[in-house]
Amino acid sequence: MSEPYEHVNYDFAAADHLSWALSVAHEKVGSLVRQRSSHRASLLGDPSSDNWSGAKRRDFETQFRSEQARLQALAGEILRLKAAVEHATTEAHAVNAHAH
Amino acid sequence: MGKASAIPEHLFKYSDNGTKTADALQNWVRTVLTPALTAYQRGAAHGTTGANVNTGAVAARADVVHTELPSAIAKAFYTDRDVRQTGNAFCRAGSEGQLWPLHSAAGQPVQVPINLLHPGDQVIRTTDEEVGGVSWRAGARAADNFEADPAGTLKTLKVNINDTDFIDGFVDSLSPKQLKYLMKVVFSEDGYDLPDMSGLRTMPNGPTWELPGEYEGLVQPYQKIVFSALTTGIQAMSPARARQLLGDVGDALPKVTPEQFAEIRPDLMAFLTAGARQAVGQLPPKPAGQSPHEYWNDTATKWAVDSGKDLAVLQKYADWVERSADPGSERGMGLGVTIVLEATAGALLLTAPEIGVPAEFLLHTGSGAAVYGAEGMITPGLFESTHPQIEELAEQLGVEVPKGEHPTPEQVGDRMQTIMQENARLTLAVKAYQAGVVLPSLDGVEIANAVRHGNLTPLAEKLRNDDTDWLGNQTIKNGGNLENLVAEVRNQWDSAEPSRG
Repeated sequence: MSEPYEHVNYDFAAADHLSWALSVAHEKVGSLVRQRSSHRASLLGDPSSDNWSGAKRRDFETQFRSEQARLQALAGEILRLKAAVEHATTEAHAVNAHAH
Repeated sequence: MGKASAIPEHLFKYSDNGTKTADALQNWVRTVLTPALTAYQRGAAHGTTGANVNTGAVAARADVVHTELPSAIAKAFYTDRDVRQTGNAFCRAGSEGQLWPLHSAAGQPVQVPINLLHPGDQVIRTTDEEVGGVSWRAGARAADNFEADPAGTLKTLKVNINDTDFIDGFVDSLSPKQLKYLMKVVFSEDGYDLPDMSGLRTMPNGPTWELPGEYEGLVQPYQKIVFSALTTGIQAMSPARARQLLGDVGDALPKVTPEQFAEIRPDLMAFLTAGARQAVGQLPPKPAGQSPHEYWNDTATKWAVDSGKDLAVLQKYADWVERSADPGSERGMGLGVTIVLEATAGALLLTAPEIGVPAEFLLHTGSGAAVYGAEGMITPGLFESTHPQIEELAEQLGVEVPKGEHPTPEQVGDRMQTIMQENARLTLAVKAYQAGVVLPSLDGVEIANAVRHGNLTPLAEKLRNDDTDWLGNQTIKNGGNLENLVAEVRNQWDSAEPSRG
């Protein structure tokens, strides 16, 4: 529940919840990236090894690398989004402090 | 033959792990993260009455959660899911194909898997061709089975849409009759037992959940899947076979509603662009003993003109667009020609820097294709026109008629073709700009402004007079002008002559 602030239209509870969710999202996306990398290494091996080689492996590698880079970049974007939320929250607190 | 090997059990494990994790994350984003952001934005939206905290920076990044992250997770999911299909293909290649011996006859060392999880896991050593052949044959069987089980076949097609071998087999095996039935089924609104579309809103192998609206781009109706398959399939074909498929698909297109046309338009464009590109093939190499001048003015020009004729098959699409886009209205005609122009321009001009074919020859080809493609749809209409209509058209189009004589349909037709050709060149020029080949200023005309404001007349004037005069005045991104680029490509071509035959 948001507190009934008089001077600022800002849902502090929603902000805190979103900030938490974004932290978890950052961790979860990072975890997906790490898990894919680790399983690729242990199960699929080097692209030239007998674990899996050939044209389809080369196609997979191209897609895999681009997807991993994209997910990694999005993990960074999630942190920047979290920072933007926290900046707005700090600003809202300041408005209230000033009003009181 | 490219050697290929795999341990299918490892591929299955990798695939199952990856899809499970991606699916769980996607669910969490949908049920926790997205609602958290939505609730925040509802309670603290910038511009809300009484709001005095700037949340614009959050709003600016909201797409990360709403679309970009779900899209990236879905891509990873599908890539990992396809690994299982590859594992299956290896299994089938292992049982029906020719396997490489564990120790090669030449005595070369055989690569050893870095980690065999279970001693019983089988290593299958085969070739790309065997693995691809398994998928190709499965695709061909699916095509054969289409009339018996349209719904099941469409589902199979969707699941295998990223497997180019499967799709190549499917598209290559479709008979004209099957194509007609396929188009009829996917464009019908009812009356056919289509698979439940809601089934497309789930990720296979995982818990079923509805994709939110933001996923629409990832959810493909069956018409789009079929055109995507045709686009993949035609790129594996010879020029002659590609022309045949372009014709067969053109014949198979049923009458559709303007709404259906609008939805399929980008997919149709992708197919026509890929098809036109494939149908014209490559510029033939310079014959030994022929001078560069003769080559460019004879062999290459003939190729460009013939390629244009080959693309006359695109007329079927111009007609179809006319009938479908806006039935009963004259507006459809312009759109039909535009579609054909865009396809040829996209196919021939935009790929020019990469395939190393001089732009001026692509202009010939693109213009030729557009004109040949449009020819058939102009003249029949003219000959059905009344005299007053011909008089009026002749006046509007500026047909010059000796004093005291009446304009003939042939004269009007010739004039219309000239205009088509001029417009073809104009479209190609605009496409060149959009592709970044030509800088915004074209001989004093600001293309960017012309395109932005829809005023292309000054540009058309510049292109009207001569085939290639304008080339010398064009500035291009990599320095110099377009004529220099042409000269540069010619030099490269000449210096590479021995290897090109």
